[in-house]
Amino acid sequence: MKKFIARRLAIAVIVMLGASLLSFLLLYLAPGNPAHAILTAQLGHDPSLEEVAFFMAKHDLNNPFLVQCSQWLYMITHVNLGMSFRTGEPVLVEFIDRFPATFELASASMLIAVLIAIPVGILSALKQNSMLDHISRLVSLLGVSMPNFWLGLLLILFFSLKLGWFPCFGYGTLSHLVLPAITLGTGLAAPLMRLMRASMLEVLRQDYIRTARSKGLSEQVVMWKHGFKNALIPVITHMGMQIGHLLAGAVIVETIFAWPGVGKFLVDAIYARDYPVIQGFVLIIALFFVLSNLAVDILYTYLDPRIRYDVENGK
Amino acid sequence: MVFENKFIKCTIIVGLILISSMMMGCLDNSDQESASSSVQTDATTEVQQVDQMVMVGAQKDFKVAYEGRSLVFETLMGVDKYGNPVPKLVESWDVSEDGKIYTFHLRKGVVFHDGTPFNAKVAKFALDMYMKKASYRDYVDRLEIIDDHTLRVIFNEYYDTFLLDIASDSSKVVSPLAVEPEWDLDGKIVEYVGTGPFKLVDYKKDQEAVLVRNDDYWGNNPKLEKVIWKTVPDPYTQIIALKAGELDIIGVGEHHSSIPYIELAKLEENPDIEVMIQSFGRYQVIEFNCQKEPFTDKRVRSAFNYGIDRELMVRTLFADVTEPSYVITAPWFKWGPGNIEEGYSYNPEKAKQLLAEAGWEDIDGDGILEKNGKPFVCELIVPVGEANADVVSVFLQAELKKLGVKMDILTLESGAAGDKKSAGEYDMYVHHSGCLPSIPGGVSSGGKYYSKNTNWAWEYAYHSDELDELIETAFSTPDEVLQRETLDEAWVLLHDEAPCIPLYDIVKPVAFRNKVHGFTFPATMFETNMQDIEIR
Amino acid sequence: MSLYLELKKDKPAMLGIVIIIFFGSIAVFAPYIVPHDPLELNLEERLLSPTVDHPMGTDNLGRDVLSRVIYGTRVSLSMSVAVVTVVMVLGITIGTAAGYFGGLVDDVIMRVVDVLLAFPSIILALVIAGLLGPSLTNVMIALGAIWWVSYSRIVRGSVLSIKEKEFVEAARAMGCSDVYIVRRHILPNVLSPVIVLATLDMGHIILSIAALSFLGLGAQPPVPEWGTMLNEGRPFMETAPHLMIFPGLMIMITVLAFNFLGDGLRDALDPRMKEGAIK
Repeated sequence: MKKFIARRLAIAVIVMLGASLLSFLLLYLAPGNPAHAILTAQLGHDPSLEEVAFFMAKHDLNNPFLVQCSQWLYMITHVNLGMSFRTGEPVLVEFIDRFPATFELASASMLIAVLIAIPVGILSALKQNSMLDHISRLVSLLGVSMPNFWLGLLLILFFSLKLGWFPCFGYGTLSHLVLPAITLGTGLAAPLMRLMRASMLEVLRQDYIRTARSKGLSEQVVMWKHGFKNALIPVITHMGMQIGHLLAGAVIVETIFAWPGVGKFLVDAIYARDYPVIQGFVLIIALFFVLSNLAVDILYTYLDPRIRYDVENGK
Repeated sequence: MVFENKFIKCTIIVGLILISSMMMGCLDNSDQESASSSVQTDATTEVQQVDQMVMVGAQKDFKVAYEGRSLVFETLMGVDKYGNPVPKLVESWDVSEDGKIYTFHLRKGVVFHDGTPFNAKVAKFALDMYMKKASYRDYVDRLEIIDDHTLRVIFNEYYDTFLLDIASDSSKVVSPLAVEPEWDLDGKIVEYVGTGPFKLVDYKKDQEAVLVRNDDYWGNNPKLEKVIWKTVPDPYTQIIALKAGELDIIGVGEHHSSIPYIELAKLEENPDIEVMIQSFGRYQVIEFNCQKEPFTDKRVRSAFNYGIDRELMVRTLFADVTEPSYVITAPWFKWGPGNIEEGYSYNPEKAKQLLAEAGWEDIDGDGILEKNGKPFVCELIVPVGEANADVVSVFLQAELKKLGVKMDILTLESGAAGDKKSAGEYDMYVHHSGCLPSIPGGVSSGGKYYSKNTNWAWEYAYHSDELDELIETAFSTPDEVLQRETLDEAWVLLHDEAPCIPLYDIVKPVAFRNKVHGFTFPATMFETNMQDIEIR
Repeated sequence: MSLYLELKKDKPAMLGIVIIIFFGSIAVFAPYIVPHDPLELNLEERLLSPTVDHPMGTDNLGRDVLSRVIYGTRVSLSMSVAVVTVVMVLGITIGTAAGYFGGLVDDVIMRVVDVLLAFPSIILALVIAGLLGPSLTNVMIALGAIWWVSYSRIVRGSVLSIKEKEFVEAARAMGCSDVYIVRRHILPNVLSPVIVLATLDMGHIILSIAALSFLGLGAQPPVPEWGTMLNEGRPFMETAPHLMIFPGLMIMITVLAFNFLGDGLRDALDPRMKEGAIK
């Protein structure tokens, strides 16, 4: 087990280094000069050549590729992601400032997804091929087929503009959280629900359920103690894997609802070509992704004693 | 089998419910009116309990927008709407005969928000700090402190736009103690401590900034006690929030037109909301690549100018909120083309005739003109972020098609667009005529139509030796009469050459709830003026 | 053939196929069936609600929304087919190379795959498309550049298993060249799982294209792409909700059709997953 974790950590480090190189390369190769876009936004008019030159020199953008690249690698290995071109603040500070908002949105969405998906998934498994099962299948298919930005707009249209129940933008109170969390949560709930159902059905077919039943245990005990607990394993795995995707989905939802989170800031940085922010944020998100996958793998071994990672099970 | 049939039924039923509910939403507009008005009344009563406070909705974070900064910081000089320098922290000034020595008499009794007094030493610090990257730095010989409130700037060569340069946000005067390290010319501004009418007391990045009245302000104290600057990036969200009473005023925080023009008519109909519109003389223009066929031909450029129905454009795209423009920049600027009497008004016949004279004819009858066997196809570059450019470009495409010209649209991120511009890889380019405190219109030593301009070089814009000479004469003399006469000549020449297609005035609309009284526009589009606002 | 019979029993999958064929023919015959020119401005008839002449209303420039939606089918379907093709070619080439040659080639490719998998795909696509500048081509490049990864993994897996099969050993013993073996024995066996995966992915790709376009990074005006139309219609959400509703519905129905079909295909190929989950 320890060997497995060490190995995975080593791979994670290699992956992160590769990821940072890649994000650096992307920005280096991108057409257009960030100085122009950023100065235009800051000055309100086209920057002079002198201002552009000043900017380039200040941010070391004139250095040759290898120098810039090694500067960047040196910086990130010293937990320094540089300063934002636009705000002049350290990128890490910008991230930490915005993370709570994204975290709040992500947890609320996950909560909504779990609250919908798990009960409905179980019910459809228990009442297989019932009306409820069909409707839930259809709704979940609709859920994954619907662009989440469109769902967000529809929610704004009906619940903010027409009914006036919830504010259509902003951050702070619980009522601000409702629409964005539903928007993001719906996309999560759909696959989770199908997975819960499939997993439950799978478990109910297993021998140990039959054994438990034949031992004369009550149906409820069989379902909850033996069925539900085991059916939950793949669902939890899936949820863990969704953490990275949750951040990704947050990008669009935050943009629609003007949610002051990480995703919105990243999109703005992309539009404005704030290179250090793009590089830094992409790297942090990749780190989240890698770590959450690792955590899921480890958690998995505890939940399901049958899994052993000491033996490389080629996947 | 039963399973499948049921499933199909469900699909159809749910689908129908979904579609019909959407249709309902789509069709019933009356409901929405009453619903939103009930929200408004709730919110209004709530806000009215607070006195003399205004909630500003702005697209950008307070510290990112210069419009917001202008409430906290002031500049040495100011500028009026026409481009004349006016006093600000400099109360009066003398300029030597040859225009090389400026003596600034600084305003007395001005104190920064942190208690630091404003004096010649601070003013020199501010100038020294900004001179590090200002375009006038090579012209300045030295700065002299004459006494506590007199500062002299001595140039080694005449520099025409100095007073304008120190009226811009990039020369804001910051308390030297708010710079880290203190009094360090290379330091970083860490605190928002200025001399302005409002003090920044609380700031949450990307959310809001809270400003309170500076009771020690040197000028008239504003009536407002508090300004809350809310970051609301989406302009449509701003409008909804304004209607709901969650915001009191929108549109002040952006130099562009943050409120879509098309929304203004609806806002004006709303009894709770008032709208004000101001022109800052910034026109949207389409710049030609004057070194690339067929735009090397003046007749083609004029034809495009005559061939576009700007009145139709302004009426249909912008609900007549703004004015079409027929000359390169606003004639009322101090340096503007006030002498040009006849602009390029809509005249499709003349446009077609000019194109024919230039040798463009539709020989194969496909609706596209040809010359020497080549069809008239050109490309318009739209840098992302130019105001209204998405709809305007589509409109232009349709208008030019009527002339027999096929125009493709290429939207590019502004850096990439700038690269194409510098490399001359474009036919037409969406741009604007500029605005104060820079000299608008491109006719100045930093203007796009001056070929020896090094700082804002636009190599492929229209240039000629004759125009260069006129510009040099006009901007190397402190003699205002001579300057005006030379400019008149330059504008006649330039207007005739049709270097661009001026389209419309990018006016700035501001909308506020009717409890806000006394709103007035500042002189430039980069400032915010809250001086006379009162809540009643 | 048995796949077809399997599918024929699956009504939702058949419904999916019918919708896809229907939209496909709409896309192909768009110029003949549109009631109006999708690009023609009619500024006197702006923002009209649905009428007989304009069943889906008109947009802010007076263009017929129905005609634009129809042309949008063309843009979306051709774009996603193009992306899927690029991704398949890339994925098969790279995956086959990794699996067949093994060793260092395999190691290097798999580390690159690991790195790419460390990014949430839409974020990477967003960054690439954002940096390259807004255009449909750049969206295709962005999606192509990230999507091949999962394909190459699957291809590599099946190549590894096929490589050990007797007929490949035999071919090699007979002195056949690598290229011949790959083309003759390996590719045909790899192709079918990849095609199934591609069908399953069509929905995702359509959604991604629409999302990037919605953020202003994809199709540029006046191209009638669904995501772009949604973005353009957003300002008029209150007064003209039809601008937002119809393109969104089209995206949803198309993606739904591909998901129906994809589900069916998966069930048909893997009966154990009959009750299956979506991924």
